[in-house]
Amino acid sequence: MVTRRDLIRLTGAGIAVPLLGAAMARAATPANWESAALSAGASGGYVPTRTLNGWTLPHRLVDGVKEFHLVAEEFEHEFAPGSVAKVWGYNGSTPGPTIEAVEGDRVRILVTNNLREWTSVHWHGLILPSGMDGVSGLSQPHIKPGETYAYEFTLEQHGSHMYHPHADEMVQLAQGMMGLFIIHPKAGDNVDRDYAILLHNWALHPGTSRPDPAVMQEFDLWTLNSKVFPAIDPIVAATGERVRIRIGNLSMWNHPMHLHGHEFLVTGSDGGRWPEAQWRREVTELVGVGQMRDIEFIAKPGDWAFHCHMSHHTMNAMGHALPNALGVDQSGVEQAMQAMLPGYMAMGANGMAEHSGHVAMGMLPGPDNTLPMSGGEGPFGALDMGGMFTVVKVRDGLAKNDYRDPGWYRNPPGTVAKRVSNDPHYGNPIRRNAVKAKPAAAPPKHTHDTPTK
Amino acid sequence: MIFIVNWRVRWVPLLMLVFAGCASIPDDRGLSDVQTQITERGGAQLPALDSVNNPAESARLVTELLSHSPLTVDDAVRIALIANPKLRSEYAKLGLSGAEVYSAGRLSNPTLSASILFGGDGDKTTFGLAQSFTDLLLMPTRSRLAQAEFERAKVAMGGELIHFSAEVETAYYRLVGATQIARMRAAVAHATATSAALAQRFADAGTLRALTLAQSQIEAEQAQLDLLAAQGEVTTARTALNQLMGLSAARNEWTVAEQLPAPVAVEDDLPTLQTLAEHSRLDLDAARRQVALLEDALGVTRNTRLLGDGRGGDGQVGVETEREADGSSFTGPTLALQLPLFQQGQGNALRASAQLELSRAALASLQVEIGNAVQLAHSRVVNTRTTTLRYQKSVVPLRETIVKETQRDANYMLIGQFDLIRAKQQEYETYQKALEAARDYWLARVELARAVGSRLPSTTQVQAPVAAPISAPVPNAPADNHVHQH
Repeated sequence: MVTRRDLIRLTGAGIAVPLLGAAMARAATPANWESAALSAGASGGYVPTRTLNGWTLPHRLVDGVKEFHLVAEEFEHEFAPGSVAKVWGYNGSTPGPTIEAVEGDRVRILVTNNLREWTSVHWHGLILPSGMDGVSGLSQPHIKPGETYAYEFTLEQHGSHMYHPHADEMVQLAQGMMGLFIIHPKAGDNVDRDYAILLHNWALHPGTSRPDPAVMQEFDLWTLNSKVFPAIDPIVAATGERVRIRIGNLSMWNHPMHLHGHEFLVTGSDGGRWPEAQWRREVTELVGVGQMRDIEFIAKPGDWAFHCHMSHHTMNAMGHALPNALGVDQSGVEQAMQAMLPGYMAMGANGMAEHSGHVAMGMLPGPDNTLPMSGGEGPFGALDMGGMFTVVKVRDGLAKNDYRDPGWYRNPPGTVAKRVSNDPHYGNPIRRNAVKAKPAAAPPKHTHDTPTK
Repeated sequence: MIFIVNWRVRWVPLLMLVFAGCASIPDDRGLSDVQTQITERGGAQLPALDSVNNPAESARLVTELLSHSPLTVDDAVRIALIANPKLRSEYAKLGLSGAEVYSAGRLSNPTLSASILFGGDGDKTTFGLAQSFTDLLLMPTRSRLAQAEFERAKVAMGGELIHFSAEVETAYYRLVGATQIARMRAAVAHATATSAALAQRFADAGTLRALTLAQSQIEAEQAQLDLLAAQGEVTTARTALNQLMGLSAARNEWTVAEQLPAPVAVEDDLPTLQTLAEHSRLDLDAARRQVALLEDALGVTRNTRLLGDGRGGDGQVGVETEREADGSSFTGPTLALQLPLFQQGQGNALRASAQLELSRAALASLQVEIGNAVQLAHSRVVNTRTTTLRYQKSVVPLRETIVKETQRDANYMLIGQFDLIRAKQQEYETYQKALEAARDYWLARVELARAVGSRLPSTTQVQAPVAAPISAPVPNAPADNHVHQH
């Protein structure tokens, strides 16, 4: 079995290894991808960051200064079809538009405040003069409603950074005010695709349309760039490309971000790109509150889940004080319930899997403006996820600037898990001699009344 | 000293009275007059005279009415008037007053006296014929008074029957209310039983602890106890109505309406009702007649007080003939008079005066009572009406919204089944209060009609009840049979 290390030894730096045919299930890894050396590329050039579901703020050059204009304001935002809320953000989006510049640029950022209370903008992780740091009351006067302030400084670093308010911070963050500030290295970069994501959480209580800023832990929606699955764009790449995902966390919880099918390198943070000795190989990286992490990997063909590994962060709102319905036989009692409550359906005895199917069929309407706790379809059936979940879609031969959703991965023959039996007593698995729970039974048959609307 | 009313002039009409077949009462004892008065006040149809004391005819009428399913409130009143002995006893009282008319309008019978005295020389026989002349003198006034009393008795009977009808209506509405309440308690019992059954299933699966299970079960037990109590109330109300309708215990098979009508569009206003009460209250009319009667009687008593106190015989005129032993006879008129020496009828006069004062006080008291009763009953109608409409228009719909939204939360696993059942249970409790409010409204209207003494003018607006928006669960009913297989 030829390992990657063998290949590197064999081929040396800089020589791409050709595909060795179908017997090799994955594409070869470029030899020097673990090197910290940055190739010059097009001098000073960089692959523009792609903000999932988002956009980059255009600038204009004024006397050699890159001038950006942010507007802090309230607007309506859709988390996924079926959930719209009044939120606060910048220039009509949450997160606000990504500010991209290059190390060494002088930037001027105008900030107009269209909120009804004062605000300010703090440039998280940036090296700049004290008075430009954006802590209202400390660094500068508050930007009152209607006012426009100018921040101006020279970028002395490169890395992944964020910007967010530093006035009534808890409320303004809770309402969605945040954005990415990506500073590309002067010497150029060496990734083929560059993605940026901001992690956040929202207390958008069921049936409401404005997030509740007073919640500290029990959030309803967990988002990547203020979207929940299945409304999150896929992360698209061509096979063999070097992909960077910059992950920032301005939520109230730490998130272990997990990528399937790859071992990635954690190569930097909002403290800048780390020296190679600091790089870590991970499949899951914990991004703490207020931190950014850059991960880089060579894309392998397939559809790969990328998500926070806290299982309830890949779900939308659910009650936490529910009576535990696992193992509860409701036969007979269900009819008595339906005599009172025609829309009732007994569920949960075998887990929650049957629930989202029923929701998807429209049999169980929920409160207004509220998303079901999970949903989404994959090529093989219900995906049943929500929250902080998306798919890294890697395809052979995608063009450099093609970020379109390529559809579902077509698995090469013989590479899909397949059923060998549907007999529950098939085979002879070895078990410990523990007390067995009831064997897998057929799913319960229950009657449905016409769904109530 | 006028001790003899100008009897000379009165001879002719008196004689006419004597010979012309004087005062009498109608064959139906004035029942048709009573019916007229009752009908004018919107009251029920009384049974025809031939059935009042005719058990077979009464039974036939009652059986025919009992075939109505359900009985309306008017049916119940009609049955009560036929079968309850109340009408018969009132009718008997009419006879008592009628009897006075007869006696007052007729002269008392003359007295024949005869004596035979045996003596040594032969026998002496005496014959005499005497007639009370105070009777002759007083007959017109007595007749007038008796007739007035008879009229008063008829009016009083009408009032009694209207009052009795109101009692029947009250019992009817109480029964409808009790039945509806029992139905709601059954719904609540179903909800709590379902919750307890579900809790048992959770406990069997090991996901609900014994403490929570017991708390759930005790709620179910309490609901069953409440249901039992409510069923007891139904039996009580049913028996009360059965009894008022004069039916035996064996005939307790009839049913009453399941729903009460909605409040009328426009309630009667208080000034109209107060005026109406003045004219309509038959007991007020009877009290006024009583006063007039006693005023008349007082006048008569004063004018005739020298005729004695009624004891020791009234004045008599007559003729006597005596045959002596020797065959000679003597014949001539006789006169016997009480001499008003020791008493001049002061006692009678005072008594009559006192009775008049009593009746005046009773009338005044009744007037005050009626005015206040109408005002109170009217305000109760307005109050219960507002309550009923509030329940219908806002409280019940809000409860239904709460259940609907709670179901949506349950659909999305935001809350559990037990909270959902609780929301439904609270809906049943609200429905029950709404039904109680409607019952209280109709009871208040009956009370107001009783205070006014007449059917309320707004009764013409009453519409047939609509089907209840409330459907209590039918336990063990099969659910919709669309079976979904996964």
